[in-house]
Amino acid sequence: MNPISVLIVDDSEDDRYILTRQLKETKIPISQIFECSEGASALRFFLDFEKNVKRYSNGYPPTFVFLDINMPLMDGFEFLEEFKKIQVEKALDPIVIMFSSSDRKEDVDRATEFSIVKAYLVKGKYDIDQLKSEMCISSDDT
Amino acid sequence: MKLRDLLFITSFPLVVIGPILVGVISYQFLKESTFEKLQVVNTIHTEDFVELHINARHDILVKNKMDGLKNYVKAYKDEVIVEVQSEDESYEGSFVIVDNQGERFFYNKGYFVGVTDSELRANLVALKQGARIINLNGEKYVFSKLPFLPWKWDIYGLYPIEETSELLKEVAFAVFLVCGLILVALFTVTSLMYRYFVIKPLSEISLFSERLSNLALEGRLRIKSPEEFRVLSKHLDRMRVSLTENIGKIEKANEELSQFSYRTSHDLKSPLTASKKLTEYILLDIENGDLEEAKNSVKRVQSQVTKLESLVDDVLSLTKIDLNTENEIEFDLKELIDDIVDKRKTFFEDDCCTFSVSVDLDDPKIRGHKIRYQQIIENLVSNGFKYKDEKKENPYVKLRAVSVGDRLSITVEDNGVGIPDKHHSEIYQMFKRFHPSLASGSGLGLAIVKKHVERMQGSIHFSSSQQGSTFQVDIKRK
Repeated sequence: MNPISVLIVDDSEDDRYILTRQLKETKIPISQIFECSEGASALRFFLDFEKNVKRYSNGYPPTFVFLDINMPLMDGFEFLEEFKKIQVEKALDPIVIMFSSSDRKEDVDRATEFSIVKAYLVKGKYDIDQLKSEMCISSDDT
Repeated sequence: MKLRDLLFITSFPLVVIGPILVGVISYQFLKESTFEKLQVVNTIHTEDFVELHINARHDILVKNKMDGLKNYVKAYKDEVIVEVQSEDESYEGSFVIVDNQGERFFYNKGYFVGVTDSELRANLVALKQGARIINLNGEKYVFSKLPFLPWKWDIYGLYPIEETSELLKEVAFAVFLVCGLILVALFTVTSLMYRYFVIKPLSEISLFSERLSNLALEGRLRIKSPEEFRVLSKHLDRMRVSLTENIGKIEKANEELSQFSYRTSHDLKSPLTASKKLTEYILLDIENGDLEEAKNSVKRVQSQVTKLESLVDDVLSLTKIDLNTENEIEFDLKELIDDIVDKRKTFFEDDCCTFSVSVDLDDPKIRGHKIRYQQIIENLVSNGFKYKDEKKENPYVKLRAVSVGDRLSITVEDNGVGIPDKHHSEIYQMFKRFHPSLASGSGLGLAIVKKHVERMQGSIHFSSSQQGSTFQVDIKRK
């Protein structure tokens, strides 16, 4: 597998910490793990494409995006709506894995409506093997 | 039984019996008055006859001093008898001369066909007993009796009733018809009015009530007349409006509750899930000898648990506001504010900001629920500190309590980061936070404040910009 990079978008620092450790446990070679604490700064991260390509030679733009739903100011869904608008222009094609404590059907259905969302993980309800296989399957699909 | 049936039951006797009664009564009345008229006419005619035929002759006899001469008297008598027995084309009636109290009867046998002396005698007897009509051979006659004493005669003028009777019957029938027609017309008009002013509004009301019972609340009920139905419809329509509002309120409350449950359980679950995972890592790190990492993780768990604790407290506060059954007490507002300030000094490090407090109350004693005032002040002050702007030179939080007359104003002002304009309409909503990087909190603080203010029938206003925020709560004090 090509070395891949990950962006974690979640307002909880502890959740970002936990996911980071889990990603390391999968033993998948990840060159970089980026973190954003809100939707707006995550968008910004993608919009500053040219600047960031130069800054992060290795691993920008991120291959995977782990996206939380419940964030203040701009939630996961609002981020996806905004991201759709800039996606084509910036030729971005990351794999988005939804990442939330919510296991409500409406949230799952709404998330998977976005073609860019390839998986949905419920915090605390998956193990390392599941995480690993979701990432492999998703990257095989692309 | 329908209202319509009621109408028929009350009108039918009137419409049927009325004309009949009127017909019968008018017939009787007409008969009676006709009878009397006939009497009068007959009497006049009889008097004329007696005057002309009998009196005149008798006067001649008296003048010539021959009234004692039997032969002359008899001759004249016979002349009268002949006249009586001959046809009189001009008069419907006829005469009967009764000689000497019923010894002999002289009458026109062609007129009184089949009548016998004995029948006449029987009638005389009946007359003595007060009969007003003479019955001869099946025919009825009205009579007028004139005695002529000199000749010992009783002259009876008889007039037949039958003919007039037929005429009367026709008149009575006409009256009956007219009356009947009038009553039928009246009935029709009444029926129409009834239909338009009673049945129609009633069925409108009935339909409206049915719609209301099915909670189909669109469609105004409006009846303009009669007055009673107009008033009724006004009240019913108000009921509809009130139902609509209340159902709207209930639906909104249910929606809010549903939202609240979702958010609360989500926000409760989140710290627990994270803490659980973190404790796994703590054990792992301890086993691997990575104590620094383990210590950091312990601190993370602590902050998660604290967050959880304050969320549970806030949720409890919020729900308790609706359930408050405590009575109002008299307490000292100045003392309460002093307590809050002391608490802050003890439990919080507020070195970053200056906290100024000014209390200007003509009477610090207040009657109310102490917990409300406490939570309002604590939450507003806490927000002021949480969202301070460290980039500014002198960050401050000012608390002011002023009472003028019966109005109490509590103001909290800060020069912190402010609330972004586009979120001004959402600030009292639950779980809303606008600077998550600055402060973690449940997002319930202002919702709690707002609820308390509403329960006290007060008002809350705020203004906010990048220069800071000011919140003002106004309460009518008792």
